[in-house]
Amino acid sequence: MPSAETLVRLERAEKTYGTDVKIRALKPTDLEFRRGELVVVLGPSGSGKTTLLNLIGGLDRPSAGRVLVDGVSLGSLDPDALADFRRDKVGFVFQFFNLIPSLTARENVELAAELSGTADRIDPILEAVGLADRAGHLPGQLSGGEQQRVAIARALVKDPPLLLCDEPTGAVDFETGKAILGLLQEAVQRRGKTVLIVTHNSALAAMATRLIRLKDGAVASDEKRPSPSPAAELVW
Amino acid sequence: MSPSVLRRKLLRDLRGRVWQALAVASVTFLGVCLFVASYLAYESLDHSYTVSQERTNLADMTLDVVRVTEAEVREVAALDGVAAADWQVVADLPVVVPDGVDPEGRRGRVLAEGRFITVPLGRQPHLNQVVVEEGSYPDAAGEVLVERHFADHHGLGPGSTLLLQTPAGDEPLTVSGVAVSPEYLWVARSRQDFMPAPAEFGVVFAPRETLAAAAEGLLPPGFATEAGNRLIYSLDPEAEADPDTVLERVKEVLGAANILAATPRHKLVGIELLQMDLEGLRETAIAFPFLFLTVAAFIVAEMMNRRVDEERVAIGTLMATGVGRRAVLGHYGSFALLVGLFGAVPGVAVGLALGGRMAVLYATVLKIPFVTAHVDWLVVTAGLALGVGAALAPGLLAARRAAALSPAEAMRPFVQAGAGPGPGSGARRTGRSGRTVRTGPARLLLPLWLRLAGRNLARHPIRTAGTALGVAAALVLIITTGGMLDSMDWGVRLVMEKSEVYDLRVAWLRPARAADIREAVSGIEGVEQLEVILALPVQVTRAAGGGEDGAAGPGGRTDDTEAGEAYNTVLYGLPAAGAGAPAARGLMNPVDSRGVILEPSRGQVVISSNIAAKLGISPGDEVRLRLLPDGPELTATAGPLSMSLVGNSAAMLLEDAAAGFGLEGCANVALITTAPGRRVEVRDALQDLPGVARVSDAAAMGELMRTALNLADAVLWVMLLFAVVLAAAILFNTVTVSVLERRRELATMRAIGMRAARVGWVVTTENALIAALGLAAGFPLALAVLRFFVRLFASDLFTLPVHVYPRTVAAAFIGVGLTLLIAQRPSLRHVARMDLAESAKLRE
Ligand SMILES: Nc1ncnc2c1ncn2[C@@H]1O[C@H](COP(=O)(O)OP(=O)(O)OP(=O)(O)O)[C@@H](O)[C@H]1O
Ligand SMILES: [Mg+2]
Repeated sequence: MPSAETLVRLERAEKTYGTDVKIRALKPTDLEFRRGELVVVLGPSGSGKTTLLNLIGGLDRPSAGRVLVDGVSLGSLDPDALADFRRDKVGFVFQFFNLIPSLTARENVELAAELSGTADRIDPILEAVGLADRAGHLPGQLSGGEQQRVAIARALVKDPPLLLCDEPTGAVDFETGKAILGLLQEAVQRRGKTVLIVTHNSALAAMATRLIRLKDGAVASDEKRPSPSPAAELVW
Repeated sequence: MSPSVLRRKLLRDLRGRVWQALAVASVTFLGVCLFVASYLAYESLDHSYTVSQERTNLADMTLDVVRVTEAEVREVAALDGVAAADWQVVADLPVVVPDGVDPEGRRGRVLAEGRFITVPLGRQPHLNQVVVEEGSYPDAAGEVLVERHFADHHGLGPGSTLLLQTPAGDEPLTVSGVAVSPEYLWVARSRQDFMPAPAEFGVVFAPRETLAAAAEGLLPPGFATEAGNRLIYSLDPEAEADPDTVLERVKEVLGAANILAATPRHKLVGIELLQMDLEGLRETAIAFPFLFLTVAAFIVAEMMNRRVDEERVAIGTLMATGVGRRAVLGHYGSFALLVGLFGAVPGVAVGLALGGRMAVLYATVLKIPFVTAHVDWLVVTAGLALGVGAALAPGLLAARRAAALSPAEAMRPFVQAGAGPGPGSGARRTGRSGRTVRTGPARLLLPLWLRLAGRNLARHPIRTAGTALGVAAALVLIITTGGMLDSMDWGVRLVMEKSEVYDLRVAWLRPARAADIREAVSGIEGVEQLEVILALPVQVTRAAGGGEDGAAGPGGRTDDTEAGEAYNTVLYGLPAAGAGAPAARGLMNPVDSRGVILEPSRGQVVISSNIAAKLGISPGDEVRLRLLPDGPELTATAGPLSMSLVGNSAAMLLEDAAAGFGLEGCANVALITTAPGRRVEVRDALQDLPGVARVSDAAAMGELMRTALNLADAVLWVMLLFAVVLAAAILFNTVTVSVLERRRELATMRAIGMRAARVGWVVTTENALIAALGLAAGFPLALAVLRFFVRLFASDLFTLPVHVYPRTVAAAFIGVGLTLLIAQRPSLRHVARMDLAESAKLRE
């Protein structure tokens, strides 16, 4: 397992919003994430967590500085190349799920699988997130937690090296939350993925191999955690 | 949340949807403006016609008779229910305009046919007065009034001279003035020939004394002095007598056999044509605005329902914070109201201004003597109400849907509140009843993007149906108008290239020996082909016997041109192919609507389908033909039915017609083709042949027909333009809204790695499927509508063959497809450029 390899690097990356009144969502930041890391980014609401994820996932471009993934600067990619990057390298779990309302749970997963040519993974993944029996339902017929699990299945099915999760346990109960986190932890431990989880739930810190605290758009602390506990043992 | 905040939201919404709001407002504006302007113009014209007819005392009933005497007129006038009666002589006589303008526009001696109508000397008649617009009413024998159209064409005025052609030589007539008559606001020669060139045909109002003196020998004895061939009478409004009963009494006085045709005022050719024309204006005044306002309503319904869907969470939240249902209703309702007012108010204003202008312009072109432009406030109010209603009604429906939302359900993402199934709702499944979406074998066959497109359509059935309907409507609009143009073109081509292929047509005053005619005409240099035929005025009746209405009476005497028992038309006796004509095909040929030449066989008569329809004749029936006014009768079998674009006719073999009417070896019309460039010379020479009453120039006729059709064409092209604009508006709106509505969904697809082009492809596929649906449904519908319209306008005066050129169909299909492609471009560009970070953050 080439765990020491750098997957993501931020070089003085920053994001400001607005023209008259400048909102500095993310101040100039230097960060490196390696393969096999499970990073939990903690921060209060408005601290720039989603902004950071969007920059890394190529959903947004930094106002200044660079974001490199696998050595490629995202800023140098044209929209199509950026789309291909997201298809091949990134799995997103959005804060608000963002499922396609007119596709069933299975089809939402299938859409992603089809893009990355990993159709054989659909059923095992649905099984793993515990949705095999609800696969034929539309998002509108699923509970918030079930929708969240579809969103995670959609990210996992592509088997990307990088998983970006925005509040993955925000909408689900304790047990479901732990199951979901277990899936993410497994992806890191068994498959050497890099997982970034942003949350304001500090209980999740226990499972991280690395913990970053954000405050007012800047990294307040960044610590390695040598012995993360299994997701199943989390309490909150 | 206070209502003032809602008001601010309303304004922001208006600003945010300024293009859509503008689209609705401008379509509404056009609809209201068109309605108010054309309906007001219609009413003004209708009123002007009525006033013109009343002020000139136009008779209620006109009877063409073999002979009516002064004594009989007095008897009729004394009848119960008759207010006044009079007699006239109406005679079509050859006149020469010494310094006239021929159809080519050259000045010189021009032979024309004058319709002489007698009037009293020195005083206006009581019935059928004329309006003298220039010069004075004739008060000396030898003076005449000429009708405006003829006078204007030839530049005639008081003091001009006309030369009546009589066997005794030229009889000079002096023009005392120029007049118009409500009967001849549209100068028609007959129901068969209602667009004569003004160079060749004109109306002359001649004092009885003038005509009696000048036309001696041309008229039956006693005509114009003490007898005539037309009886006119007006009904006594006080007596309230039934017009039919009065007609029966009149018939008793005159003797039924004496009457050739009885025509109520509104069925006089010129008046009927004007009325048809006016009816066309009225239909346009209703149909077009209706179309526009439907489109406006459609756009509003679409826009508002989607807005309510989109803002469902916001509405729920507002209501949760205490905003009342009425405030929500008012909020969405007032948006629609504002948009409606925005279009309707200026529409009414501009329509009012245009309506008056249109009426005056129309009246001037048609030379209507009395013009009354009045404003009917009911029409104005209706216009305003329709315009506002078109936007408000669908707006209120959507608003009601919003107000009926339950806050708790509305705020729940994804789940559609169980509100009433207003248009555009019914989208997502309600509840979580656990009904699975079947993904059958289709999923093995179709790629996901195609299924996604199909799924989206199926999931929003009303939106899909609405859009498909829009596409279908666009196609119907285009094919109907384009098909009208095609049918018109096809009809003209049939006439010009197949049915009437001569250059000149010469009519003799009386039938003459065919050999003499042939000899006289072929002696003229420049004549190439020559065909000598008979053209006779006849009355057509279905022979009693097999028919159910054996009660048609002896000889099926005409009661009324529309009574469906007898019909007066012209019968052509045509030489058999190859017999009379050097060419294999004749110069005049009956054709059917597909352009197949129908040659009458022995004992057969080919009649126009519109006469057949009026009389209930089908091929194989026995048909009786009587030579007018009081000639012999013959019986023939109805052959295949022919198509006549304008007017109508009957045709049989020359020998049959000649034998049946005792005219063996005779002819009265020569059809001629001329050597290139010699037509005008030949025409001049023909005019000088003795006995020639009229030379009509097919080229001039064709020119006139083209002008008339060009006008219709122009109207149709404008309609076509409207059709295209409306189609584009519908398509543009639907496509834009359906893409913007799914912004978040499309952003998600892009976020998980779908290229913008691929997303565009999904949307395009979806639109293509809808288009295919709409086109498939629209095409048969379009043909049906076209057929309906053609039938609607068909009459014994005008029949159009239904014909759509493949190129029109192709253009319509490609046009709709291209419009869709173009219409989705801006929204697709929007999808390509949207801020993924922001879109993905939005909550459903
Ligand atoms: N499009 C935008 N325009 C202006 N400001 C923005 C925009 N997007 C984010 N911000 C601001 O940037 C800051 C960081 O936003 P971000 O969404 O990254 O916060 P977050 O840490 O994810 O918060 P939460 O836990 O509430 O999701 C916030 O103050 C937010 O208001
Ligand atoms: Mg966030």
